[in-house]
Amino acid sequence: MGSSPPNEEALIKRLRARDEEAFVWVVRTYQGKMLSLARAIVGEPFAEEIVQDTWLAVIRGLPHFEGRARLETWILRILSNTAKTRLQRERRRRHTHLVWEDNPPFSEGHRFHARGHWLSPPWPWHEETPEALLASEELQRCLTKAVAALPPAQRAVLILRDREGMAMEDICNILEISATNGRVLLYRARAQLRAAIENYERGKGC
Amino acid sequence: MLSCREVTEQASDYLESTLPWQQRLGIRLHLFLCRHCRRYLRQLRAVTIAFRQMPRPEIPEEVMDKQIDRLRAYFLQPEDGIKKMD
Ligand SMILES: [Zn+2]
Repeated sequence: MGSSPPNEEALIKRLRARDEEAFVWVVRTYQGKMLSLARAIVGEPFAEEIVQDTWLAVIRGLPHFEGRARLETWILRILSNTAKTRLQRERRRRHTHLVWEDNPPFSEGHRFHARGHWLSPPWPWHEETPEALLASEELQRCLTKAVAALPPAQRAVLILRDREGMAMEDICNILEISATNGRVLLYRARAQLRAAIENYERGKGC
Repeated sequence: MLSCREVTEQASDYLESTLPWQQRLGIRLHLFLCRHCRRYLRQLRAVTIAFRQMPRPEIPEEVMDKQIDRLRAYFLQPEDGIKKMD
């Protein structure tokens, strides 16, 4: 089948006919993104299991898949629901403190005067380019740490948007959130990454 | 005129290019006049692009093959494939 995306309708037909080659192609193509999203929502320890459970649900659901959504969106939506349910369960068992709905406002309000002008303006960095951030292991560690500290929903939107490059519309569909909510989550996530680097540049560590 | 606070709150949307043109224009005008907000935006863009380009954890080939093997049985025979899992 090669690595180019096949015609979606034909692909679904082949999957329904239990065509092994088509199945292997689909797993290879989506597995990375699925693991990425599962990690974002539930964290590393449960991610692989979530992906596995999702595939089982996908296989069971294939006969009922109507092709109204794209295959990828459909699969990731099943994954997101599986992961959210798991998050709830693990929380009841006190294996995690994370909550999907948790979206603490990230406000930099204290940095502004009452009328909205900067009181404590952004701290200058040595270099303010993506290249500089990517060239420094220390700064990358900082970013990775900041991502790990985000609440699940913020991390999920950030990873699907900025790492996987998906459209916001698809992301909101997959995570079952409103467009407004999606934008807010993305803003808070990105702002916290910026704040993390700023902290580091001010000598406050990561 | 937008305040600095409003500009930072819309900065992520501005990077997304999803804002209506009137709002974009408002932000551009503010950025022209305000170096603090220019810096904020430059930094926000830098972390966003850097994160996008950071290496994504790849799944090793052996692990992928093993996962596919486990799923294959279930895919071909969902009725009794589940017993073959694990
Ligand atoms: Zn300003």
